Amino acid sequence: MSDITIGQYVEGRSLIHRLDVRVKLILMLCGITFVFVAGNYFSMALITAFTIFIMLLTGISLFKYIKSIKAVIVIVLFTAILNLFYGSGEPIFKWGFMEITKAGINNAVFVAARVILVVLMSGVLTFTTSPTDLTDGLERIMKPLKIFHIKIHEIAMMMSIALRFIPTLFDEFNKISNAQKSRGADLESGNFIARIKAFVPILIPLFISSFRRANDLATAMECRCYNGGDGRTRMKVLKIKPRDIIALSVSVLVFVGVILCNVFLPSPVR
Amino acid sequence: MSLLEVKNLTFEYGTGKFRNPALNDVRFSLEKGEILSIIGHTGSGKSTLVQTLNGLLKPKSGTVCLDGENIFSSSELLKKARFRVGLVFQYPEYQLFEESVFKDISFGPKNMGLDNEEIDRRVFEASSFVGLRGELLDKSPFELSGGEKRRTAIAGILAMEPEILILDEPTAGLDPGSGRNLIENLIKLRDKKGTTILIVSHSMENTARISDKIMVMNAGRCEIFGTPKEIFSQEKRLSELSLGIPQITRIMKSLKQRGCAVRDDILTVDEAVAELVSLLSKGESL
Repeated sequence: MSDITIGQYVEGRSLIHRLDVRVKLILMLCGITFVFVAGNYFSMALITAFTIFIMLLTGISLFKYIKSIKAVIVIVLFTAILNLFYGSGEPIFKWGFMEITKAGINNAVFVAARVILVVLMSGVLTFTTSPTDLTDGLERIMKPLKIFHIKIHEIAMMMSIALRFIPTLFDEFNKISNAQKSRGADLESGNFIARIKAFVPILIPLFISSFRRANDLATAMECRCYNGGDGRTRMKVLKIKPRDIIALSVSVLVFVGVILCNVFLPSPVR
Repeated sequence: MSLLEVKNLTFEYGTGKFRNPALNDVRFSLEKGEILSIIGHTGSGKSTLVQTLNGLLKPKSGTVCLDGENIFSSSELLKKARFRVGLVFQYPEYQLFEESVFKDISFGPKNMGLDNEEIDRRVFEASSFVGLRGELLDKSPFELSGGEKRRTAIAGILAMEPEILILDEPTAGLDPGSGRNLIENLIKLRDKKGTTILIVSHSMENTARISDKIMVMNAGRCEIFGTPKEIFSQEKRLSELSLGIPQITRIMKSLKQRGCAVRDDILTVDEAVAELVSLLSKGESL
């Protein structure tokens, strides 16, 4: 139980793993945007192929990606089926008051493809980037927000500390709940209210130890002269490397391709 | 029939690729009123073993029998085992949660479904037994000192009056005085109530002083099982398992090597004093 991982980072040395986290973040956001820009089967095929190409580059087993789709499959099916019946035009299939049109089928396919692609793209990001790198990248990207007096460094620091302590708290929770079970605490039976009440003997010690830990951590950080983000240098300095430029250019080419397909090739019936 | 009998106990953390065997065919038995110490280096499976004994962890195979009945054979017996076998975790002071010391100690007895009168009696008895002054009972447990918190937590288990009391490194982080005090109290508890006690310990001195039997664990196995004298005569084997012998035993051994006519199976300071006094009174010099 102590080996739970936060996020779904899969360690690796692939090209995608080594890309600058800022580039990855921006490309993922653009990618998701272009999934919605893609308006016909040709552009959709192009962006799908691109996504699969990136997935293969990560070197992570496709099984893991399929698993991440599984989590949203209900939503995908639900929206797709709903869309199936909401097309206008000539019905090609009729059953009672329900009718399926060509536009309906098109809508269903597009909705399903879009949700799945979005999940896959975010999968590529979270599988290949450790949570600490991710917060680091977010901090860098959001730096310009400083002019609005948003404390980006503090927010990022809080996020990474929170991530760091989730496994610790999980361990602690197990320990305390075992200790209370040894004193006869019954966590499993009873109605909803009784069960919530049964957790009080676990949550109070957990809160107290969290405060103690927070205190210790603050002292430890101060002992190492931490005083916020101003003038703080980094151990890992992010640098744009040739591979990042290549990744950016290839992606831009694909995105341009999507637009060209949209403009010059026939759109499906809507 | 033994009070506690453990047979072929095997336990694993995780499954599949992440399988991590923690106990491997552990077997031992314990009679009523005995004190058993479990020693072994970090990760040898001590803490896992004690958590299977009151049914917190379900073993992969093997049985834990109380009075001949396997506690894992029915949920009824398992529930009973929680109360018959009291487990004091490592650093138990982190489990305190109630608004007063009294209420915290009464948490266990309350869960047993006892009536108020009996709960009061047990709380007062347990708290005076561990040496908590009466005026502390109304205080919040979070205002107490570290040693007092530890005593409160142990009293919380004692108040359940378990037949078998298990303590996982009870003296860790206590000052020497409090540690000694705790160990003496445990011996008193056994003598007065006949409680069977099982201690996981890193202190060879305490172990030698208190135990009737000692179990040495290594890599999830019971490596050696025997009386303190049997165990601590195997210094070489123990040091291979990154364990040692009590300091006083080492001193007496080296005295013997230098030609003094002393026994080398002495385990406690008291024994050593008696031995040396008798030696000196015979007119021999060291």
